[in-house]
Amino acid sequence: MKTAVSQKIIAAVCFLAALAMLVSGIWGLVSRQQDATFKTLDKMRSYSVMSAAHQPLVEQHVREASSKAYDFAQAEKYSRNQRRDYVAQQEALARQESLQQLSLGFGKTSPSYEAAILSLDTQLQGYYEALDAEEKAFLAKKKQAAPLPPAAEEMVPEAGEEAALEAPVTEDVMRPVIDDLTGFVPSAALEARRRAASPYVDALLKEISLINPQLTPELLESARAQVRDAVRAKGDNFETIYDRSLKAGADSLLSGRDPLFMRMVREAENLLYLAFGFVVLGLAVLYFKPVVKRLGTPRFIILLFFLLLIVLAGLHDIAVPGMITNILQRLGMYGVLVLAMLPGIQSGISLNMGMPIGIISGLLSTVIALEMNMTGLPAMLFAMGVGILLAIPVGYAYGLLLNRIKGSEMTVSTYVGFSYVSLFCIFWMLLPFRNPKLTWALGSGLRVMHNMAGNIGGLLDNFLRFEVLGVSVPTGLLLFLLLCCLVMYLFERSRKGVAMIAAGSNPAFAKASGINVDHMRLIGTTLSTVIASVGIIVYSQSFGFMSLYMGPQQMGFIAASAILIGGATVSKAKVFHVILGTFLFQGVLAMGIQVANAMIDISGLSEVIRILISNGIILYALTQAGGKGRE
Amino acid sequence: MSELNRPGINIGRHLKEYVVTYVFLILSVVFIIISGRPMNDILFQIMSRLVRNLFIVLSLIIPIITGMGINFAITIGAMAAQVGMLLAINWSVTGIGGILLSALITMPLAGFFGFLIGSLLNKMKGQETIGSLILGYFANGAYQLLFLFVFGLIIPLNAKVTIVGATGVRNTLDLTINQLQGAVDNVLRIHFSTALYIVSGLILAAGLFLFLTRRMSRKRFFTLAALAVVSVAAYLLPFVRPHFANVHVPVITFILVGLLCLFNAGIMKTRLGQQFRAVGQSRTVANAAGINVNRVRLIAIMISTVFAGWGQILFIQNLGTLQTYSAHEMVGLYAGAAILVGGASINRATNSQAIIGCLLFHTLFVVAQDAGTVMFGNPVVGEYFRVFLCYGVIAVALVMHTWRTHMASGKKSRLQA
Repeated sequence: MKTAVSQKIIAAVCFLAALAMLVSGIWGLVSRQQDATFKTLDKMRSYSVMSAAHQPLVEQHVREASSKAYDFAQAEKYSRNQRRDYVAQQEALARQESLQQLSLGFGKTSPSYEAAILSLDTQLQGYYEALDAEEKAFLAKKKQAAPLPPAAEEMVPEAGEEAALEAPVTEDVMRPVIDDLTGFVPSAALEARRRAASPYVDALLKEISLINPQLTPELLESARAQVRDAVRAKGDNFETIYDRSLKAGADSLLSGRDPLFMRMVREAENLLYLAFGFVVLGLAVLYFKPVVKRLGTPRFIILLFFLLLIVLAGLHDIAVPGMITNILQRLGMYGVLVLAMLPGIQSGISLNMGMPIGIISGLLSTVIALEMNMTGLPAMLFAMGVGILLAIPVGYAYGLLLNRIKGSEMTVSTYVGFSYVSLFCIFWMLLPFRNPKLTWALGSGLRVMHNMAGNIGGLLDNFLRFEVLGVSVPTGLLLFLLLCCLVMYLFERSRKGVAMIAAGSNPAFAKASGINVDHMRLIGTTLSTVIASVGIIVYSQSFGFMSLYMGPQQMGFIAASAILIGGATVSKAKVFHVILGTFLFQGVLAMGIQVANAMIDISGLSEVIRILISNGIILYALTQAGGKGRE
Repeated sequence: MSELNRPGINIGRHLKEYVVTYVFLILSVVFIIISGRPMNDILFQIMSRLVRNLFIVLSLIIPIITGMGINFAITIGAMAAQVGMLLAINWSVTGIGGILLSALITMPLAGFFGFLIGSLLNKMKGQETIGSLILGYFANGAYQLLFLFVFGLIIPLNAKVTIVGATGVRNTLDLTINQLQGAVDNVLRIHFSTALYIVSGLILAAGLFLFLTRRMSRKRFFTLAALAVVSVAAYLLPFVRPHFANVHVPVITFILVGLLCLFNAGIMKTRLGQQFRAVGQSRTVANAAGINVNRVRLIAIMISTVFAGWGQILFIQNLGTLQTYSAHEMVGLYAGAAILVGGASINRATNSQAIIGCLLFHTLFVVAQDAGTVMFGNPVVGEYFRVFLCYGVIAVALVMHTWRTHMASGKKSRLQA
């Protein structure tokens, strides 16, 4: 293996940068514990508190300037547009001037003022900690009662939700925090604690008025909530306090290398993440060729992307436990569906893009179970049993078709799958289901989305579910996936399994050694269809919803790309590829969604990522399989 | 082979080859009757759908002849066209000028995309159909990324095409503001009867000229002449004529479609056309004959992609609104299904198959919903039936083609043995 000099230089630069970041990051983390740093931060905070207290005064000046400008414009007989522009201009000017003038006084402080801030801070800190603890306990209890669908983040927030987020901050006293739609209500003791903080705010306001007599009690009262939150808001830590103070312009207080130092302390964690990123980048540059050769370009890109997302997730302070929970959940949710690709590839029909055929069997059996008002374990066992029974004949017939069109299985199976899905769209409308829970309120036909809560929702997920380090592990779901994988693993090693793999990897040779290739392909296809029918039931109970109609159409692509990412080709695959591929693919998606949400506030990016990765990897697999020669 | 030319066997073979077409013909007639929709309305709808779709369907022919299957990646050509139209709207170029500008932008863009598509498809020979389909999906992801996040950063977009308060392109662009709607169609519209007389007259005149200069066989001339006369006569029948009262023909659009037909037919007489055909019949033989197979395939896809882009411009200007994020999605599916309905297969297609297929497919499309309502009391069923038809036709065509190829190769190997 030869590495070009330029590669070595770039890698060295990366490693040096990583080292520098590592050192400064650790230094920053250590400094965070030191009193000197806290003193500086307190200084910055008292500046931002003062700035918050002055806001009403600024607004007052702006209002005065505004009315003056309005009168002037009226007197000069400006047109409406002119007047509007003029007033806006004057307002902006007044705001700037007044801020400039007042900010000279933001740095003023007195020992009693500092003390008032500190004692209020202690009060608030205690209150918020208690509040957080209570909220957490409440949520945990609620989650046990009814699990939330894991894909809630993919759903568009409703108008009400958004309005709640944008509701103005309470002006006067601290209202009880009814922050979200969870229905959490703080206990009486907590309420008392909240009220107990109120005199401390009063004391602080008084201190402020002593420093700047310009601030009348009325003005200060109107800035009460802002002042309080400037001292400590809910969920505050070093970084948020620093950011807030910086926004208020507190860095003007600092001198010498202090601003840089504080910045470094604030970014300490991010520096560590970046250091990790640079190490990865350096390694990627250094071992570019062998790694790409081993993994193939798209898999290499996905791996890098995965690592990039980890760095980004760290930079945006996304909670790690929640993310791991999400990935584990998705792994179990999609795992069985991806496993359905395995026997198809092994038996030589390449990627079974007709997987929706099996999925629909599973959906149909689940709908039948729901129609009969079954719930719990019996419902799931019934659905799986009937699903398998339905999938066997359909899969067999589908296998017979695939045996007639050897060589173009992927193309044909894609369209056979699409046709089957759209054919079933008609059936979903026409089949005689009568349960009002399932059918449209008006007219006939099954609804598109079915809520699994209350019947089979979370049945596997919550079986033996436990929490460790904040990561909630869906034990039952993962055990089921492992069980399915184990069964497939054992099958691979049975006589039939070995024969099937032989028939798939080298049909001519298999035929010569007396294996009935067509029969083996039939077994593989049927098996794939059967696993798909079970897989969709596992998926639905975990997702919390089951979608009929066009829902299954893209499932084949998702499963195919997952197993390909795991390292399978269109003619060779192992159980390991299923697990690794599902983990990587779903991991990228799960993190991609959260990182994208943290970075830019646009929904739909995750779907774009899915489309690009999923289809990109299939295209790559096709180029690897197809003829490359000039002919 | 000579015995296959006997008329009796010919009809059997003809039926076998065009079974999908006949099934669609019967279905169309049955559905028209069931739907109970006034004929006037149906014909009007069919005409507008033909105007919209014919050009795109015709753009599929060359790759099919070159043996690359149905080029579902024409969606990418459509995307290129939408970039062109977006820019025309953005720069406020109105009317026919806007259309010309979009077409001009589309050409290099679609050509370049076609080059990329072709290069990729050359790496997956034998899997072009699925490859182009997935490539279309992939490109759709890239397109959304481009339009949602990137476009506004590269080219300054003005407020009328962007989402309020963001850089992304708006969901729906209204073409009426720029007078782009119908900019091509409305240049000259004549009534169906006028168009029929003119076309029949032209066919007769041209046929006579070619026949007299001995460039057309007697049989062919008489067939054409009879066709022209019969269609005019049929139109003049009192119970046929009123149904066409609403049908107007946008002349320029149809002239463009006609030019594309001529191009498709004409290029087959050139050296390049012969290479298309040779590659389509056997890549091995073509390669042995010294043809650069990859290059020929690349050219075929590039031509197809550019034409599909222009077709999409005609489609959108007829529709009047540009659904930025979804207008291109169904292009490949509908066009592919339409040409297969006309009796084309994965490796053989003609202009007339494309036109007949388009006509039948869209007839069924127009009436399926109403027929569904009448039969099942639910318009949604008809809608799903439409979707099923699209996918089903393609699936059947693919299965039949593969099956036939297998049988033929099986027969050949048995003969050799």
